[in-house]
Amino acid sequence: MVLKRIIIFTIIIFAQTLFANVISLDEIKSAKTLSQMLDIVDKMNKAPSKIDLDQEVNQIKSYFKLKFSLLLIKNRKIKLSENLFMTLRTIIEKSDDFDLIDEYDFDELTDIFEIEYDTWKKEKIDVNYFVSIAFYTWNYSLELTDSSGEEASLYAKERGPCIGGGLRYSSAIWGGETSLCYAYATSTIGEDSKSIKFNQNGVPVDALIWVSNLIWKPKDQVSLKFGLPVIYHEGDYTASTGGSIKDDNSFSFGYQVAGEWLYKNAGLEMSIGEFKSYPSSFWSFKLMYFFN
Amino acid sequence: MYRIILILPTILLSLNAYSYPNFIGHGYNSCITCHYNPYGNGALNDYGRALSATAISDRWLHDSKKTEEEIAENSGFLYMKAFNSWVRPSVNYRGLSLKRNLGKDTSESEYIHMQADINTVIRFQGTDKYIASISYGYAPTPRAQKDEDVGNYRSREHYVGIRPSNEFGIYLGMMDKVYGIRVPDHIAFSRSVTELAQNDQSHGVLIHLNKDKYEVGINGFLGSLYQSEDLRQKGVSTKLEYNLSNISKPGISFLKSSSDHVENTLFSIHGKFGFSKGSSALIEVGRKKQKIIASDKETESLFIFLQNHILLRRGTYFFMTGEYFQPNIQKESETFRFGPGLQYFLVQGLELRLDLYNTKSFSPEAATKDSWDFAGQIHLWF
Repeated sequence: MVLKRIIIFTIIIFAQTLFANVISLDEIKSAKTLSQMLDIVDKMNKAPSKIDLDQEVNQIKSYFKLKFSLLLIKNRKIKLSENLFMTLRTIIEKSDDFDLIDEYDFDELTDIFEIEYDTWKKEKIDVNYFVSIAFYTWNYSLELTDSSGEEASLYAKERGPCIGGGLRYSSAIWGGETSLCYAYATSTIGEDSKSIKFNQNGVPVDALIWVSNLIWKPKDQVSLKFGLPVIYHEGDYTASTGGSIKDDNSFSFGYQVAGEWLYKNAGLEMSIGEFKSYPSSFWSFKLMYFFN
Repeated sequence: MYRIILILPTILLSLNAYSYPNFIGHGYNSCITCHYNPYGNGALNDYGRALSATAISDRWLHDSKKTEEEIAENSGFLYMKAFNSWVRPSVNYRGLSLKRNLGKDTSESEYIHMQADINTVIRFQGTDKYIASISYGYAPTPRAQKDEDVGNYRSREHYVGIRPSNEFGIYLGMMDKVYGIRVPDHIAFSRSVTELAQNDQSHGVLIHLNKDKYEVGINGFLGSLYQSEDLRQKGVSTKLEYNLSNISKPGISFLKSSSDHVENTLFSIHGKFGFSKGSSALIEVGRKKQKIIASDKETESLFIFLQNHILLRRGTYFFMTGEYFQPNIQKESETFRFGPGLQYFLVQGLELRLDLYNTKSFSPEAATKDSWDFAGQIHLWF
């Protein structure tokens, strides 16, 4: 008995909720003030989601939903969000198939929507995490002291993959990001002076590279980045018998410029820069995957 | 590696720019949209001239009241309207200021007139259906042949073309071979190692099919008939590209040729992709097998080309080029080249380009120092 009452009560509440959000066209058309429009848009958003847009009445209701939403956005009564954007975009796309009289001018509303959307897009801030795999190459300097105490400079060429990730904070035009990756590289070392002969190949090198970039997006999918990279470098170099090698571990920092090309959630970055006290340049090719 | 070091100054001399596959970023994924030659290079057709005057070039030299249509209309020879429907003359000049080995004692600078051509396209019946194209002009003496009389005046291109429909064309004469992405950078390993650079045109026949979804070219060639017969590379090449969309076009290429001395077999895959409006990414990965007939010695090399453009504003592109070359895949020696660049089309007929190249060579035997080169180019075409 109690269960039966609970079920009936639930059905009544559900039906009330359902029908409370079903608005007549006359009610919609009578809305004059922004608060009335806000109320109507709110009810329409809560109404049963499946609406048959083949029916003319629902097409007209969609027109008012779009019109009121744009007015409310313009008057800062509501904010454009990803969900609202998708809802309004769907109405606009479907309106191509509507066959309504000129009074319901979707083209005019579409133009207003595009302006509002552009403004929103420019102001919108996205925060994305990403993972990355890169190929890095740089040159490195070392000091060799042989068994007799003679010192000579060595020159190392190093390259290898770098795996990591980072965080990006960006609007449609500007942004910033920070990332960290671990590089396991190999090194070929040779003499940097005519006084000695030295050669080692395939020496393992570990590095941590932390980069902070300022991002400028001239277009949606492409970016130019200006950044400050910091590197911690550790190499497993071995000197000839009795000698030693200095500077195998070091911290350094520098600058870089990079370009990025983005397709959906995947990005390709190419960068070139310099680490302080490292001879010549470093470059990287980086593939990134962004999480929404 | 040493071979590359020897080759590098020569190929730097032939650094040139003809066609611009990066314009896929603007939605132009086929060269024939803008060029008479279906794979780019050589003279621009009327549409290509109009496009270079409008969408591609900056417009700040033009009166702000001048419409794009007016600019396009005056994009013919010497900024004139086309004076008839059957002849399309043009002139082309390229100059290169080159500074090699930046920061080293051996650093040197020079200015090279790379090209000064006159070109005429005859349009029989006043359309692009039946054409004849001929160019003649100046080319610099290659550095490797500095003291030889190689003849500085030559025709790089002369052919007749029959294009009964937009989809099909057949071309006969001297042209570039059909292969890979015909990038403007003839210094690129993908053009120099494959021997498809500025002066590697060949006499032959090209069949071109351009359908909605795919584009295919088959090129049979006899080598350059200006060369002595034993040096002529005779063979066939083909390129097949598939349109995933108007800004996404992957493809494959194959070339097989031989002379009395050398046999070449090339294979590559490539992709051209547009990003936003005007920006692009180009990638080509290829292998070359070369056999020296006298010694029966075979070498297989590998190259990768990656070049990405960012349209900063109308007429101005920032780009980055990354390249990899392994001269012999059996050995560990490798060369990487990387560099940023800037390209500016001030107005139709004037292109300025700056390139910085950083080359790193890797070899197990030595840690050689990087080299840096700078190139500034001016390109005039009227």
